Amino acid sequence: MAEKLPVFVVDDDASVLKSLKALIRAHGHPTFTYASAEEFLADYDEDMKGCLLLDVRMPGMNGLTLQSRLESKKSSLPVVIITGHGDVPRAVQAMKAGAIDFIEKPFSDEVLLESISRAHAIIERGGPALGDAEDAVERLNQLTPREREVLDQLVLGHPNKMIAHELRISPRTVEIHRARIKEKLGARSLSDLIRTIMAARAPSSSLMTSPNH
Amino acid sequence: MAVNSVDLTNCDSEPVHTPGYIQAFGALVVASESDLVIGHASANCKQYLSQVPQDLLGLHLSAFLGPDLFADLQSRSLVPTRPDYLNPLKCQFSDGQGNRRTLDCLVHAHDENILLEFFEAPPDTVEHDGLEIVRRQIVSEPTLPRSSSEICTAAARMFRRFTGYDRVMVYRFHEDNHGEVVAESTDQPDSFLGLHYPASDIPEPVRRLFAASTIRMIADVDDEPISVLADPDSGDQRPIDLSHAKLRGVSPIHVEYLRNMGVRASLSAPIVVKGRLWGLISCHHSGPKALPLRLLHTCELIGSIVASFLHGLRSSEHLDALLAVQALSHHIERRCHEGMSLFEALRLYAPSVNHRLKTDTLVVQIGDDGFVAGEKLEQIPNLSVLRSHAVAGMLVSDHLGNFDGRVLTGGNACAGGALLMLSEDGSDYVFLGRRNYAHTVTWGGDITKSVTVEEGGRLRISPRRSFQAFKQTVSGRSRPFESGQRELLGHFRRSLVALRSAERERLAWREKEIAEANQAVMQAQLLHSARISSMGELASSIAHELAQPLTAITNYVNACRQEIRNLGQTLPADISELMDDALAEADRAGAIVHGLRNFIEHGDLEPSELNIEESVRDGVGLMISGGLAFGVEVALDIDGNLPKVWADPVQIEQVLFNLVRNAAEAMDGGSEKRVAVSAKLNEKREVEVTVRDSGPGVPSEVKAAIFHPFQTTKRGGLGIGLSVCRTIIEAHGGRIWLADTQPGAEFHFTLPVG
Repeated sequence: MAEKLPVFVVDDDASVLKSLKALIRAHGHPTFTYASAEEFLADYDEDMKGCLLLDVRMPGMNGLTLQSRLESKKSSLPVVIITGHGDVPRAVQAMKAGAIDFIEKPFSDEVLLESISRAHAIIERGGPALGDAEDAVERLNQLTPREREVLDQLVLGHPNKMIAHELRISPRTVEIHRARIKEKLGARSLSDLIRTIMAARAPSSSLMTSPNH
Repeated sequence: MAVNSVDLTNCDSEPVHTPGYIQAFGALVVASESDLVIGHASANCKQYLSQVPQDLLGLHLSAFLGPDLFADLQSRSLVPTRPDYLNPLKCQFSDGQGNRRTLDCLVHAHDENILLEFFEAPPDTVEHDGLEIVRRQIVSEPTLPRSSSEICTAAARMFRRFTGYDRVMVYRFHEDNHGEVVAESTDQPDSFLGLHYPASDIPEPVRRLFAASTIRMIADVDDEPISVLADPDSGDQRPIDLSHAKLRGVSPIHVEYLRNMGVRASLSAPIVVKGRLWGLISCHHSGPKALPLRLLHTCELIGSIVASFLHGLRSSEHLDALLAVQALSHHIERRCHEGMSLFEALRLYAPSVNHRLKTDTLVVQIGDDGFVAGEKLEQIPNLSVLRSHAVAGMLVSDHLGNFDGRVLTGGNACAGGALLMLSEDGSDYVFLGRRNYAHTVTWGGDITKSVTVEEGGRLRISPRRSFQAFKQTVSGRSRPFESGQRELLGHFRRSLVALRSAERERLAWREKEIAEANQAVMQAQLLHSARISSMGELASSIAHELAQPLTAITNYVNACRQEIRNLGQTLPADISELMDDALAEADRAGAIVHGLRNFIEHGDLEPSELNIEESVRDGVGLMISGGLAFGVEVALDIDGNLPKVWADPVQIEQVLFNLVRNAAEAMDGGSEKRVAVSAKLNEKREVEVTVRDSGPGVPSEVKAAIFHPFQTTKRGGLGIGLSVCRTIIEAHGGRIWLADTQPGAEFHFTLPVG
């Protein structure tokens, strides 16, 4: 069995932090927990290797701020964002800022492990974080112009109602488009959609560079 | 009417009441009221009193009249009355040859003088009870005359029968004072009936004398006027005021006028109705003619009886019209009470309005609503011009061309009318128009009098010589508005003014109620939204807080299972099942919490295109109207060109409300309370709103968690306001933050441009 990727967990809720440590450890990953972003930053050094599991909503410095601080330190830690339910705009923001994935609380261990292994894969490859750009472009090209419009709205984290108004269509139609888009792009979640788009937009980007261009 | 105004001026200034001479059918003696000494006597005293006037001057009245007559005179009231021939003094004077003459003496006091007029007394045999005859005749004439012309015709006939004048006419004066012959009785072949005479034929001073005084007799225009001599020793040399004297001399102009008409003697009895000179009974005779005092008395009574008949008739006609207008006003009022607007009520009753007020067209303007009813008249005058001429809210004229200088021609022109203003601001009015009344007036002679220039350049008129009928077509005027009709219009206006002012009050009240209701609805919405938001916020934070332990439970169970696997043990199926159940229950608990939150939050975002400026004003306005910003100076600085945002107006108002209220509360107790709200477009092309206060600022220990629920520095606060604001702003895709400023607090939020 290959050596398990270390996981750094930052969450302000002590019970969540402790339970995550128990769970991730049970799956064999070395696990380090921090009760705040500040605490993590104090411990951080460039040689750290592993996956950063980051709660986005914390008193004091929040997850997004920590993310940007790390980026300014040229950190290579893949970041997985933990959000509360329905905090999609913030998750999208985090993805744009370089997070490789986001998971919503409460989550099953499959979802968590999948994210961690995604991080592992990226580190192993040492290359593109986002998968095949050509493949992404090809998939996106299968979308109708209307579906493409809906997708652009979705990845901004807009709720269906708002998208419906923006595009002058009914929320029900948005729902239908949404299902088609997921099918065509082979996406299971919103984070998959965001990744696809970002991959298509930044064909040569690596994890280290900002995918915002 | 082409009447030269020079004529009128000249005539009107003539001193008709102080001519300085009398007519020849009697003698005049005047004593001062203060000392009863005779100061004036007519030149013909010898003829009547057998004494030369010079002998009378300076005499005390008691010496002149003798003790009995003097006592009689002193017992009387000498104030001129009408009728005034009730009881002449009977005087006897010796002619110096042993004969005694009996004279009738009329006495009256006027202008500080006592005037004694002496007339031949008719022989006792001729005396008869004229009054009784008049009464009987009047009753036997068409018993109750139904129209003014019937009354006048009867009066003319009776007058002539009594007096024996060649011609008896009844004049009626129109509103503009010109006269019309409305009845005539004559044995002459020609007739003056229906002829019109210009107002200048009876100049204003004469008109005044007629209205104030009584009957007027001119015995013979060919008589030499008798001068009135004054006592040269008396200080008072003013000409005697003969206003009430029967013997008053005739003005030369009038003498010429009568001569030109071929008249030598005349008698005029005024018909005064309600204090106004309604008309004249005018008698003409081709020869000299003087009536004895008793007959004069009777004539005067006939005049009075005619006047009271006319008055009665007019009153009853006026009463009928007044009642009809009042009934109409009442109908309109009732409609208004039933909830109809005054505008609609007037539209409903427009035909009746025109009928009752004898008008052809009705123009109504109530606020922004207007209508025209009745006949389509042309050239309806510029009502704003008319308005400026209105007196006491009303302008009534049969000649509107006077006011806006138009030439009104054609039968359909609106030549006359009444403008009734219904409100002081001029936004409500009623105009009643009358059409042009083109008709022919037959004048009793060419109405242009000749004007001659006297020495000294003064203009003087000579009366016209020809009395040949002169026809003139009159246009540009409507039928006149008589004084009774003006009164009706006044009544009508007053009732409409009252209705309109009540209506305006009601409307203002209703508008206020609607505004208040709207505000109440807004406040209720805001409150509701605040409650929903707080509940949503509460649910959200419960969900968040519960998600933590639920996450932990799930993690622990999963960790447990993994640890058992790590130990190389196979989990017995029933234990694995129990663990799955635990996970499922944790999931279900999470789902219930999310469901609850979704339920509460469901539909609480109702976005629309929003003008941020309106939201700011409404949000701040609500606070001020709620009395929550007492003593706080709120300054707004809002970029007028902000693009619209896509947001829920109620929610955004709530955010502003919360921020401004927080600011106001933070400054409570401070001396300087200022809140500045500004809105601009920032570099990211978002609408950015800033609320800054002059308070103490946010304590640093609170700053970090200020947007978290249940954080508060306020007594009694829940600590939810700012977290609600964050929820709302973030739900709109915007951001909210506290700027790092000192002193004061400065909150910012952004909204994406929609």
